Amino acid sequence: MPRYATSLLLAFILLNTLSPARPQDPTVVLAEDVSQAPFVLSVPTSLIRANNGLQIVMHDDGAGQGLIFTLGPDEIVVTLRRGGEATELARAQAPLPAEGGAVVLKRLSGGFAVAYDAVTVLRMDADLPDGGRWGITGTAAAALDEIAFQPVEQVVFRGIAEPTARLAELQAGTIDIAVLLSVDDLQTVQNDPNLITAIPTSELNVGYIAMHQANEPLDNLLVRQAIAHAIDREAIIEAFYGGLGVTAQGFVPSTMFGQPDPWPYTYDPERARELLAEAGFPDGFSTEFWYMPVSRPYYPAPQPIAETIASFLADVGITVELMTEDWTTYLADYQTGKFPMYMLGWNADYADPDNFLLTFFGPSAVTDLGWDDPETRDLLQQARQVADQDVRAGLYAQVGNNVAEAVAMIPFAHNRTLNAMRSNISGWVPSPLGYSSVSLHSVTKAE
Amino acid sequence: MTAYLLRRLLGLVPVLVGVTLLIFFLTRVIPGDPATAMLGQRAAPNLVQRLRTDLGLDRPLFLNLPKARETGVWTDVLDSQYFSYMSGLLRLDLGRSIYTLIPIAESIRHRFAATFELTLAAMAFAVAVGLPAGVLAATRRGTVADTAIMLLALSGVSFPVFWLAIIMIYVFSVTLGWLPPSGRLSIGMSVDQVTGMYVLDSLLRGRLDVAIDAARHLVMPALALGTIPLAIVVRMTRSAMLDVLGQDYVRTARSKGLSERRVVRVHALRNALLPVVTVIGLSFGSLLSGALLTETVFSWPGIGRWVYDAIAARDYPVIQGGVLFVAVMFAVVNLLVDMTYALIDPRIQYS
Repeated sequence: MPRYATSLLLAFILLNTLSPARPQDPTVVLAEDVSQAPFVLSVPTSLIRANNGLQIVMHDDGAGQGLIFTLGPDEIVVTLRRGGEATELARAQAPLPAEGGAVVLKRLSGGFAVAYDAVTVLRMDADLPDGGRWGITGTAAAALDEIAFQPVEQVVFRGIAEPTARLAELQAGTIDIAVLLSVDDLQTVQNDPNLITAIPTSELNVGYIAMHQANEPLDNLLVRQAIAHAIDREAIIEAFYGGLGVTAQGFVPSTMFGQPDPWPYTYDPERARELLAEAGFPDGFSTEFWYMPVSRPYYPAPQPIAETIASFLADVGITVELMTEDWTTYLADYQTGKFPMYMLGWNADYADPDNFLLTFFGPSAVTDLGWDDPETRDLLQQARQVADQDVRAGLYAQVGNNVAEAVAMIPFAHNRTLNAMRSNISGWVPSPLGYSSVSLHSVTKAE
Repeated sequence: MTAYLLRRLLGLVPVLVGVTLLIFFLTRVIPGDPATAMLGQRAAPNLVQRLRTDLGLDRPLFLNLPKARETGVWTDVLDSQYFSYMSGLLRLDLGRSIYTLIPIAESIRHRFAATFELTLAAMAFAVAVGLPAGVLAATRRGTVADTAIMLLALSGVSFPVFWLAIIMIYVFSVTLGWLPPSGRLSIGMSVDQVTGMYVLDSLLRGRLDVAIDAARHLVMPALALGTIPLAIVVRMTRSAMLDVLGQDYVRTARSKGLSERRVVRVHALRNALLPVVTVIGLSFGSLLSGALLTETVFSWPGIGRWVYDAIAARDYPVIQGGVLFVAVMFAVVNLLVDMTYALIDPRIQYS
């Protein structure tokens, strides 16, 4: 996934989801609050058909302007509205697919895409009529403040930055669904008779600990093995993941194909000390460990987790200085080798091992990890070129085993997010791709 | 007076130029730029480079010497990021957000209206409660009332605003259900905008129901935010009053046989107001620059959070426009404060 919003924030409200279709001018309103949330909005084709068309408007808070996606039964028009004037940006002929399908609006790094299920009909990275570019909204602007399906259905998206505030709104009944709550609040949600938890059965993410081999002594395999043996991942996950996380055995979430052998470096501080001595560091060594300044599903509490990791490392003689910095800076710096050791993670863009393994251990492994392994890169390329899933599974397992053997990185956890809804809401299933993929097709709200 | 005003306004120019320079370069020395922020954690380097070119971020910051050397036209030296920004500024064009492409001026208008409404309400609360409380504490010096008021004032500055805000939300929204937890209006309500201040706008449009709804949303943020200036106003009023009450002219007023009420209100309070007005002005200025925490907890779409989010996203035009705007607001508020001195104390002359 390109990037999470700095402070993510989606809580949304479903109103009148069951009210009958009225063939008037249905409008979906999406409004800011500016954060960098990427998003995918999926609109059922039945909704478009029932109303003979649907408009989706994206605009700033009260400023009569924005992009309008008009989704007709066989045509898509994208219009830019600014200060009362409307300019057509793009138009595509596209008959709606069969009943049960969906039209998907997705914010891309190059602009927007409008797609019918899997087929992209229109991709927008056009220039603005007055010369400015609008398409550069990659992970941009709209955390959705307000979205309303009118009059058939009305859904209001609200951007609420604080997890505690999202929970308060949910408890007060002013919103119906809240995503990404703090795991500390699991008990509160479970004890509240008005709330139901909505936790995905599996979520496609992984948190990891990386070591950049340009830094001595991290270039030493024995040292990396020692680090892997020194950290009790189970204990940390039990303490900080509220029962929702699992210890990672590799970099591909356990529900997907292409699993390697289980991670060979179990918690064994004695073995870690031996390996350090064998590597020539009987008294340990010192280095820097950088932790993320923001929490993410795969690292719900980065600082306390980093402190605990540091104490496990100290136990075998490795002294780490804990460091952090502003998130955008962090994302620029980890690729430069500035961080000897760092924590980071990944939420999948699509459900395939390729999205994890090629991302981590493809060409970027050289800059991000100081790990240059042509064999692994070859395997990853091969896996992209075959269609047979069994063959691909074998190739990805091999990649995973190579990574484990070289301890190129240490897989940490796969986690699931805590979301909750009011007890009168049903049919909402959080996506394994996380909150950036929101599907509201089958949601209903009882009185 | 006019000459004084003109001189003050002229004096603003170098200050603001300094601000533009400072903000421009500070935003650019921190690592990471809009291109990396936009394309995210694993962006391909060639895409980052292309986006940088598209955004004009590959041009020199200050002087474009290479281009001038190449073309031989000396004015091309000014084809740099800073001078493009300044030339826009001189045409009163603050540019657009890199992400939303919404003109900065427009965002400021909407965001500032929200912040201004919140600040006005918070300051109204702080002054309405703080002034009488400060006077009371001073005139009853050493009594239980004095101690209680000062204790409350102290807790006002000591409690973190976000903590107070969350407690208020739990008590008044979640438990009692009296007030809406956050936002500016209930779902389904809308305001015809005139000033951007929802309570005022809905009253102007004769929509009492909307005005009440907007006011209900305003109560908690205003109280939470108001505790800080409240504490300052109480303490300042108390100490200024104590100072004045010990003056000869107050004793004279008392010995003339004036009622204590009149002594306090007319002779003492008016003279004590000067430093109080100064702190009110300063607090007002700092609240206008954005009450980040309050805005975050209550999802209030104001200036503070807008600039904060822009910093994380390296949205240079928004940071530049937002901070410059805040600097101007500060300067204007300070000027207004200086002007009010003359109203309170006619002896003060501007020269």
